This record gives sequence, C-alpha cells and structure tokens, in this order.
Amino acid sequence: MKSLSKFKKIEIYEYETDERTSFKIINFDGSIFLELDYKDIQDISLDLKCGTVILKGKMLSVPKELELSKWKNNKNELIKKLEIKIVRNGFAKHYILNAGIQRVQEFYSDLSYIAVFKHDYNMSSLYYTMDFLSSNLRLDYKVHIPDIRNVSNGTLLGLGLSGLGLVLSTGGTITIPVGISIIVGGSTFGSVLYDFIMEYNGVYELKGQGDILQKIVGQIVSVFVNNEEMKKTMRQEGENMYSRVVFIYGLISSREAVKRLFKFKNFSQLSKSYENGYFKIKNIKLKSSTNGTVIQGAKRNFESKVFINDVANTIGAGQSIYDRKNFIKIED
Amino acid sequence: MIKKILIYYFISFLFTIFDVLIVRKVDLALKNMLVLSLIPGMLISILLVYFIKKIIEDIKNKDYLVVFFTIIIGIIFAKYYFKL
Repeated sequence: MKSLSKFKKIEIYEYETDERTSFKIINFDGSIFLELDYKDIQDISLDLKCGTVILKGKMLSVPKELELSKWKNNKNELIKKLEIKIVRNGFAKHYILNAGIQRVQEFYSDLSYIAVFKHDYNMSSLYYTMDFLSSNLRLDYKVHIPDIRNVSNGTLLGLGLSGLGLVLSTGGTITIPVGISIIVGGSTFGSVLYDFIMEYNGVYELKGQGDILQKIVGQIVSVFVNNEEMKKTMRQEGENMYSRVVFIYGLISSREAVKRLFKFKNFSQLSKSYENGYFKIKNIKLKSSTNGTVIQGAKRNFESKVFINDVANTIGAGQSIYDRKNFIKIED
Repeated sequence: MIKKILIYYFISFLFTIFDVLIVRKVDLALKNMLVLSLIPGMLISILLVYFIKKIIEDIKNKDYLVVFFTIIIGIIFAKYYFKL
C-alpha cells in the first residue's frame, strides 16, 4: 500500500480488497463517529463553499447515528478526518481527508445532508483535492461564487469599505456597479470578520459561514413559505439567485475592465487613468471640509493600495468598475 | 416609474422561470417564483438590462473588440463559475 498523494495532509492509497465502499467520519480519539455504506447513499455530491467542504447525499436507509436526537448531542463534536473508500471492479481506492480542525456542522432532520467540514487548506490545494476526488469517485461538485471572489477579496473589501465610508460621509447617489461593490464588499467583509472572530475566540470554534449576504437573501425568501421542506428549497434557490446577481455584476465589471484596458496603448497611460479617480458619483455636494478630507483620504487609499492588486485581479475576475471620465468632484 | 418597475419585474420573472425550471430543474410553485423574482431577481434584471444596454452602446460605437473580449471573459467566467 503506497501513498499517492502530492500533498502532506491528504493521504490517498490504492490496494486490492474485498471491502465494501464506505464513508467514514472519524473522531479525534480514533473512534468512528459515522460510517456509511456507499450503497445506502443516493445522489452523492461534493460542494465547495468558501473553504468549506460539504458532502451532500440522500440516505436510503437511516443509520442510528444520524437520528436527530443523537445528532443534537453531537453537534459540537470534532472530527479528525473523513475517509472515503470506493470499490470499483474489485479494486479499492481509499481517500483520507485530514482537515485538521474539522467540525460536523450541519445535519438536517430529513438527512439530505451528510456532513459539513470546515477545511483549513489553502484554496489551490483544496481545489486539487476536490478535483481528484470528484474525478476518481465520479462525484459532482460545484464551486460556489464566494470562492471566485476570494481572488479579488482585497479589491472588494477596499471597495466595500471605502464605498461605505463615502455613502456615510456624503449621502450621495451612487451608480449601480459601485452600489453592488459596496454590498458585496460589505458582505464579504462581514463574512471575513465573522470567521476571524470565531477563529480567534477559540481553536475549536471555527465556523465557515460563507457569504453573509447570500445567507440573508436565502433567509428572507424562505420567510414566505410555511412548509419546512419548502423553506429549505427556497433558501437554496434564494442563495443561487444571489449568486447569479454577483455573476452578472462580474460581467458588467468585465466589460468595464476590457473597455479600460483597450483604451490605452501602454501601461503608463493606463496607470495615469487611475490617477484621475475611481468612483462615478453623481451630484455630490459637500458642505463641510471634514467630509472632503474623508473622501480625499479614501481616494488616496485607493490609489496607493488597491491599484496593483486591482490590475492583477481585474483581468481574471472582472472587478474593475471605474470610469475615468467621471471622477469625484468636491465642492467647498 | 411603475411601468419601469413592472418591466424589470417581468424580466426578473422570466429569468427566474428559466433559472429554476430549465437550468436547475426544481419544482417550485408559481407563488414562490414570484417571491424569488422580487427579492434577488429584481437586482438581477436591473443589472442584466444595464449590461445589455452597455453592450448595445458598445456595438453602436463600433467597439467590437470590447464586446468580443467581454463575451470571451464572460464565457471563461461562466465556465469557472458554474462549472459548465
């Protein structure tokens, strides 16, 4: 039996066996928290969401460990690793996902979810793992939008915070892309802050909550239905619809980025255009000089910190929302 | 103003039907789809209309390169985003 893994924390073994295919969730003390036979699971899928691995599946028969009362008792139980064994044509593949600090986070009474893990790998390693598992196990997995936004978190956070500052200090009208940046950036910032607080309050209190705004949208739409099953569906659909919003926002940003890039023949021209300002804000009239300083400070902050980050990120993720013809006008 | 809101709502509703029934194949009642088209859906339609308007503007201004590369980036983004 030899390890095939390229990564230290992921162990992959291949060997011949007559063992049945199974999923195992193992506690830190080495005892088995949950063992599922592959045949008992229907529509299994892996979902990757902001550093969280979600194994989804529908149970054909309900093991005792998954009974709701037992689950409630085990809600904070920590687990060491997830073992996945799959047997195909008498040949077994054995995958062990050591996620360090993992926590079984959610179980639902209808047992449509198996487990949720907080994953502490860096994202590229995690993508590799998921790709590997999905291609070998023939499982479906999807990459959720917050992962894309990780690429440009710096930009979004900057936009969100500065935008929020601008709105608070001026009360001015803003254009759609900036508005969306503020919402998305603010939401991402909330999520990061939440994770940060939870992470540093205690090692074993990790909570991967993903995008807070997305959760809020899901919660709002689920209020309109009474049925528990339907609530869950609506929550999921609301979250998906929110993802579409961010996607279309990405398209708009891509266009802005492409337009900007094609307008200039060399880098220094492009660089100069950024010096002119970033926001497309209409009819801002400032009464006090204090507010003017706030805006100027925010603008300087953009120029010095976000620029390089932004050019790098814009091409890939399309986060540029700037328009060189419309800069901030400050009237004393 | 009301006419504009209704148009956006209609576009949002069409998008929701397309997304829920055709793309995701989820069985949702009409009432629930109306709710979905109102809350996150309206934002989608506003952005979608804005995007299409801008693309048409680019075509009118003969900025074909911008349109072409926006579409290319959109396709790459969609492939990565929705795992197409």
